[in-house]
Amino acid sequence: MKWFERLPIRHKLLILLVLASALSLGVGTVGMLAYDVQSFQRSMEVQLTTLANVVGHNSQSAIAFSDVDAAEQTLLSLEKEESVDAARLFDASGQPFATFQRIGVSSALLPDSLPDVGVTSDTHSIRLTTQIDDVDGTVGFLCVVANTTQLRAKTIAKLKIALIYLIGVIGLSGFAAYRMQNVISRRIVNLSLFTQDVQERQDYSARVDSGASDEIGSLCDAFNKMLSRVEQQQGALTESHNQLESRVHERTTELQESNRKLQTEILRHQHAREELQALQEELMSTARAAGMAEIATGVLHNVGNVLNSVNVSANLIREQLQGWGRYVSGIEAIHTAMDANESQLGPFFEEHPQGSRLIEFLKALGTDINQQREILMEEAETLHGFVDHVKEIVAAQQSMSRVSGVMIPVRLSRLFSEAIMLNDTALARHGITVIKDFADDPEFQGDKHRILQIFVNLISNAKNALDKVDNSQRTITLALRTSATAIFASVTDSGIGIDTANLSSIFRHGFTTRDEGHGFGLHSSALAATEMGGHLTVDSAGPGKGAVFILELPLEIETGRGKGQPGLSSSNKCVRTTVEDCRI
Amino acid sequence: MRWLLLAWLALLPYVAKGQELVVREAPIKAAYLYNFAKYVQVPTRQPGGPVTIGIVGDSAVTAHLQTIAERKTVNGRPLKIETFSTARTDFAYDLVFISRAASEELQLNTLAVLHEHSTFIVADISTLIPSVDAAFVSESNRLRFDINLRRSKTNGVQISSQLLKLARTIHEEKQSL
Repeated sequence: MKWFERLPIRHKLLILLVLASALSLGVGTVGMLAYDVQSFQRSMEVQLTTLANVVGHNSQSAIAFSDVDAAEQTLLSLEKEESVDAARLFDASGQPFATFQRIGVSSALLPDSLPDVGVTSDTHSIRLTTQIDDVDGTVGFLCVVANTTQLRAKTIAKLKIALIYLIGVIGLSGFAAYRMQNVISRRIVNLSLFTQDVQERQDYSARVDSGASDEIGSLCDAFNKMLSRVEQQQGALTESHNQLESRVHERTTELQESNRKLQTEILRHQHAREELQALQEELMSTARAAGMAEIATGVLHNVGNVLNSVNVSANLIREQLQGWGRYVSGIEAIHTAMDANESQLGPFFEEHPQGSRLIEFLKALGTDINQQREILMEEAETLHGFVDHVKEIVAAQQSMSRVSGVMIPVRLSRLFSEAIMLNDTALARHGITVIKDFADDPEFQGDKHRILQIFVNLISNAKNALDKVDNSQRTITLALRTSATAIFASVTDSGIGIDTANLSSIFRHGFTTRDEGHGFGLHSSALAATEMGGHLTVDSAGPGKGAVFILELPLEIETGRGKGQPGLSSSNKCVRTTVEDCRI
Repeated sequence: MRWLLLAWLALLPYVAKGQELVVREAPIKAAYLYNFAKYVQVPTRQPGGPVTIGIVGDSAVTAHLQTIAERKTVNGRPLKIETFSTARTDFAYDLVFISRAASEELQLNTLAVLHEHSTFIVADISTLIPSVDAAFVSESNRLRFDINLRRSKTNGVQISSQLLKLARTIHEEKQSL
């Protein structure tokens, strides 16, 4: 029915009216035809019954007297009735008695035995069997077979007439419907066109003519009222829209101003952030430089100590060499005496008293010079050792000051040894006992220089923590332990300990408890540990109870981190509370 | 003897046929008499009373008619059969059948008594037709009957057209008796 819905209302009305007329007429015609056919069939049955009764009555005597000829003569009267094709008389016992059969009609129409009394019919024939009675009882039976040709012919003729009538009526009703629908649809179409016009022009002040006060007129009135409301609402909407537009404009202006301020603020913050970043980088650089300077100070201190020894050895050599003046004076005296007795050197040594003592003097001088040479040689060896020591310190410093970030196989025990070597003079001077507890010392991929920097820093701090402790209690314990995934390196001192309140801020940049401290060492160490994917923690039972710093490093480099930059991606996070405030 | 035997053999079919016809005629005649009673209206007949049939002569028809009378009625009235073989003067029958078995004297006596009497007279002898209402005739090995309508009308006996149309011959005008 989609096509019907898409049709214009005029066509719909036209189709509906014509269809209604055609349907009503069609149903009426069909009903009338059916009734007519039934009536005709009933009439035919009545006619046949009457005819059969008459013929049967007229055949009574013939049957009674068994006069077949008379009976057949009687049946022959049925020939006048065109619809009757055949008839057969049966006697009272049901035996065929006399037969009438129209020429050209099949004998199969007639039953050989007595059929049931009544009417049976099919599409082509009607068969009536009636009982022939008189006062004394049943005389016989008559079976009449009639064709329905006339019925069919009449039906077809009436059907043709009905069809012609139907077509004519549909045509007339279509014409009338066309004229009538215009009365209804014209106003609806006008209303539709008006609605479309209003929609296109957005002119809600227009009004449609209501016309007659029927349903369409009511619809037009309702539409006009709706237009009035829409017009009012349109006005209110326009006003509201204007207000809203004004507010939007104001808000937009405010937002633009806010946006401008915000952008200015963002720029300002961006500058501040850049400044902060630059400052942080500067501070980082400063921290690194300070750490390096501190380490360099320690190194220079060690070098200075060695240089003191060198100076002592040099003074000793110089003093020894100054003592060598008497050997020079003696040799000059020997030279003078020998020069004076150049012509008589033999008698001089044999006869002159000075000559005879000169030989003893030369023997003693040789012995003495040999002793002095050994002393000087020993001192020279000592001095050479000091120079080598300085070279080692410088080499260690050079090693530590190299660019970090290169991952190489390392063993922490070796790095601990190098760190101790960088501080050994100071450790020895302060009488500090270093205990090594390297239970586990696996080789793993690590940043040697960063770890060494951390160790030097921790050992230096431990040494400083032991300054105010009795000499007999000055110990630093270096320990190595491993787990399945990490290695733990601890530096434990028996020093002054750390106040619990300071534990949370000890890694903060600039925090120090020493007057000469900078507060950079532990901060940079904690950062380095974090950048390597590990972390640095501290623990202390309190003041005077020593402290322990534990460096935890992963045995396996985490995937996703750049080669040579372990922990770099996580450099911005502090793993434990002790390094949470590692950043500025 | 030989000639006699051959002659008897030659006539045997006819003899047998005649016996068969005699045997078959009696019930037919009885049925005809019954139907005559149905299609004939006698003015003297008592309303509601039995239809009486008198059989003159000792005929085989009587037995068959008795059989019919036992199981059938005539227009709703019972059928009463009486047989007499001697001359009588009082006849109160609706229908009288004069059989061939009756003597000629009895036949004539009966006809004389029933002359102008409103009784439907059926005779088994066609020669008696001027004095009777109907007479059986055999034609083409078939039993039929003739009607003397003149006598019936004279005596007020009404014969149904149903019966008339079955008659071989209807004598209606004056005829020489």
